[in-house]
Amino acid sequence: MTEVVVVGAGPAGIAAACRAAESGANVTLLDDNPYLGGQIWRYGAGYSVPKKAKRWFNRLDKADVIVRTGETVIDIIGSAVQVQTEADNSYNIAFDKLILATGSRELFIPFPGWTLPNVMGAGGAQALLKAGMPVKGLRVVVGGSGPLLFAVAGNLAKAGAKIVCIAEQAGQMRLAKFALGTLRYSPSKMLQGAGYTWHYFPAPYRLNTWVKEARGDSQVRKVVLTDGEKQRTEPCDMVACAYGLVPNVELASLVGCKQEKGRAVVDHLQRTPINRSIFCSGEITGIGGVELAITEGEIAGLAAAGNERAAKILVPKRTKQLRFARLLDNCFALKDQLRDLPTDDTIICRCEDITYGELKSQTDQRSAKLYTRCGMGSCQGRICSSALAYLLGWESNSVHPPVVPTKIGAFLNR
Amino acid sequence: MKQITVKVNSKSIVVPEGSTVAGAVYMAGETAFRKSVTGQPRSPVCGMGICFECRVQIDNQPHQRACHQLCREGMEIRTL
Repeated sequence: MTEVVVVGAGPAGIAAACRAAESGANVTLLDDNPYLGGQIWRYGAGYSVPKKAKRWFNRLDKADVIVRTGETVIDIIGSAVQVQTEADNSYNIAFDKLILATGSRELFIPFPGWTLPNVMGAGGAQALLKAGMPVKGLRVVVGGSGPLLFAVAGNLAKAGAKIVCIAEQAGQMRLAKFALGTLRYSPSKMLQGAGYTWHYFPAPYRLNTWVKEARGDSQVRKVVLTDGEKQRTEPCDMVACAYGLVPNVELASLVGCKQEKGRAVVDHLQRTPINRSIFCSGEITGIGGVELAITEGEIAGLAAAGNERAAKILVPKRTKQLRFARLLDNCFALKDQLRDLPTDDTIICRCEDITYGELKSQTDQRSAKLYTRCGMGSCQGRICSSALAYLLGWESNSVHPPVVPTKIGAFLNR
Repeated sequence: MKQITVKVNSKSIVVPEGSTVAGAVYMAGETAFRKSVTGQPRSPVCGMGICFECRVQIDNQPHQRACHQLCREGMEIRTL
């Protein structure tokens, strides 16, 4: 029987695992989070599983899949993945086919004060809210770019936060284009967006506006917003700000998978050109939303289990859904002025506290790493190298195993 | 929903079962989770296990990601 290992239990990973198992493969699904669902289908103590996710969760229950949450893939060695458990030991799982569905993370553009407590990502705020963070009565500025900001503002408001405003860096023209495109390609998303607005009404949605600075003491107390010319200061208790998403390509990099613009390159069946036994699905191949991620997962799952005919049937569906991905790219393209956000004393590498001033004199990620320790901390450059790729056009750091900090014990206790 | 009790900096906190350690730290009224290498207070940024800014001490184990662990009855959590 074909052994299929799926890394990442978000929509793409769950769809891949279901399809592969239903096609007769032996499937193991791994995720480092304590819960299934990834980011978009995240649930937690006070938050139930979203409706659409429930269908897939039930399907996963019925499919004969070995599910391991709280376990992290730290390396890919030949045709096996090395997995670190919560108990800090490690073991290997051999695979015939490997599906990487590692999703995406947020892009943070460092601005003065972004290291203050209670300044976090937009999706970050959403995730922490579902993890039990109380927000009742807090004044929150939601900022950055992309349709996620609506959902975040909506959910925060529903939980009792007072949304000060949503600061979207994109301008009117692009937003109008996005609204029209969404109506055309994915009208259900439009309704969803309108639903969120209801909760944070009457907070203003400020276009062509971004967070220039956060000020505070033991935590953020106010932000400075700008449109590039005028500035306004708003008191607040929390800032939820991020500039869209970047694919988590670390494991794909480890196996030498080709990348373009930070995305894993795949063929029509989601296979990586360098190794046709390794597949990538979902946001690791580019940011395109949950429907596209599911379709890509289904294609990879079917193809990995040897059911290529069924996989090919889904290809036109994916092509259609990719249009929404392109719309996102076009409409929320980041303004050049955002590159001026960090000042010389703004910290870029939060793990090692390296400032922009120290980094500007370096020529690339590698020299920055060697001379300043930028990117050598716990997050292994996941936050700063994406920021520096945007700010200075630096290519990403090379990736070495283990891809996340691992205790020595994990190598000894095998 | 079943409730469980954990300690955050010696203060007892009751949280719903399934809460993450990060949730419990916030519920305890803390905004600073760890101190950076130059001594600045920090709190979670990504909420999903990427940024490592939410690190706290859990049952004497340092550098544990608060967003990635679920609360267990009697757990002792320390910030900064």
